[in-house]
Amino acid sequence: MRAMWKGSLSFGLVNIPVRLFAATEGRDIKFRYLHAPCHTPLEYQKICTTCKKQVPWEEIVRGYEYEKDHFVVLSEEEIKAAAGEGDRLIEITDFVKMEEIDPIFFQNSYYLAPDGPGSKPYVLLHKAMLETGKIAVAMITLRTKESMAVVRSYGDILSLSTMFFPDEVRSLQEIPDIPRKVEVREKELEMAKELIENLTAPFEAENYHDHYREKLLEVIQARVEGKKVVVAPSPEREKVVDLLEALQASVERTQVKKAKNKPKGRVKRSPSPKEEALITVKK
Amino acid sequence: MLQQKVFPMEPQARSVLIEDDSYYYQVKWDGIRLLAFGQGKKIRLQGRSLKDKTALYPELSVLPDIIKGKSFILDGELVALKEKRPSFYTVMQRERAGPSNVSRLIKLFPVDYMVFDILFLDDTWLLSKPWEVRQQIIEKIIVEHEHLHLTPNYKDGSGLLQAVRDLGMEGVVAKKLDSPYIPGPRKSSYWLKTKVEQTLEAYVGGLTLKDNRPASLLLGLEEDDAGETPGSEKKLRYIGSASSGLKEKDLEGWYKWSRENILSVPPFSNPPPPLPGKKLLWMEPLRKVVVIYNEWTPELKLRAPRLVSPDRSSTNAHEPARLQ
Repeated sequence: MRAMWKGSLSFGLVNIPVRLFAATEGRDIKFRYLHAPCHTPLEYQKICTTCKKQVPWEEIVRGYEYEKDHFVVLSEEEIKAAAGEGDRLIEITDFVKMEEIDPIFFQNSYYLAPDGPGSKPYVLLHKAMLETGKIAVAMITLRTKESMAVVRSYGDILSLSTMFFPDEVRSLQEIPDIPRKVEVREKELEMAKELIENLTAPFEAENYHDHYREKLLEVIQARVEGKKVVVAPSPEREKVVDLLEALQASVERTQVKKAKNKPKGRVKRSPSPKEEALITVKK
Repeated sequence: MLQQKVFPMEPQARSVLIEDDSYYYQVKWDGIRLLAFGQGKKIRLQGRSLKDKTALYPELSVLPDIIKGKSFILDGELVALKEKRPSFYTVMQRERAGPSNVSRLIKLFPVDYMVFDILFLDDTWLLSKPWEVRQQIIEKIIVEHEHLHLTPNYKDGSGLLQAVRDLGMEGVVAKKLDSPYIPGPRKSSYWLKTKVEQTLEAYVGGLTLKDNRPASLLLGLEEDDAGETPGSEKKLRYIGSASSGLKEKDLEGWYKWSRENILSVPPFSNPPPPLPGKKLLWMEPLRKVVVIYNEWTPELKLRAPRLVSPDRSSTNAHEPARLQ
């Protein structure tokens, strides 16, 4: 697996060089858009509707739409400047108990591996968090975005999960139709609790599958095997015959030139019958 | 015979084309050397260093059916065409594939076997037969097929070299008419190869800094693989660094541009390792340069790359999302 980021994990006076790996991968089935009559995959082009042309990359700037159709244009320098140094640091600020953080904050998960020798502090931090039952809250800058994150012991390695900032989590008050003042009877509550008790089981992730994906894969597999698939026209398959013809034409052109430029006796004579047989020209 | 191990005959290099009536000339295909052993319905493919490659190129399993002979050993080069010429980079994407990827890559990077010699036919070794006789034999037994072609022979070496240059191919091999087939790995003077310079367009995905001055550009080619979703990030394969051909002013320009398009992670799937005394800086691979190079190394890096004057190339910006 390829590290997507390198930097160091710092807490107190200790700096641990680490590499960051994506911990998860989405496995959704991706479809491509094809042109229905010919099944050619569609390509995307950036078009300016005012200038009626395709826009090259140098003519693109980034604008923030502060109100409908009104933009402020920020230069790449200004955007980069706001990102700060990007000093490749995961800086641990506090240690807390896992239960104190609601899962709603969690965004993406990564694995952290020690980078290079001197992995002792890594092992120490791993073990100490395991034994105290604490996890670390940290700040990290990935690409340009600064994120809050937690670092914790996961199996025998350290993991990092980026978190949403509090103002990125929507307020509960925005959600309509929540019955907030409904009385429930003691007996109904007891029954609900009993039901929960009956369905309680240890969590086994393997028991859960993406049925939609499995079904789609089944259909796709059947189609591939039954050969009822559509194939994009392949302009890609280039023909050797064409290359050999171009080669032959090109050699002939140089010979015509030579015949014109060179004094008579030095022009190569045409091949004898035996030589002719040797020249394997494709038609 | 099928399990026989043979080192293919190797040419010596000549910087200047030998022009002599005792030679015929063939295109030097920029691909992967391959010997094909056939017996009955069976086929075995073997590389330059005797490695078995049968499973990598299933499209050649039809050879015993096409070739007019009960048993044979053919010598040739596997090529993959891209933009009307053999592309070593493309054929290497087949060569490096794991067994599970083969069936997918066949469609993506079909290969052609360009046969140019024969070592064995119907229980007879042909190594001691003169080259011209061996050529007459392969002409008789090879039938053009989707993946099988005969390498044409030319009498006019300089004409072929010019044609090869015009078409952007790798070079020419001169073959002595009366010479036997001498298995390698020692290079034989009966075969003489002369290369021409080749060019390609590469993305610039970073630069190196030495004492805080820009020193060279890091070059990459797109890994053209299937299953990519439109708009997803382009993955580049690092193919080497180059500074030759650039003036200090050009490098400064790239340095300035890189700071506006800096990346914190390399755009390469195989980023170059850190070099002592040099800092690596990554940038968005948005611009291409034209590179002149001698050949590819076995590690798929450019040998002796030189950049073509930037006013011809670096203004040539490309849409970053998808390039076909």
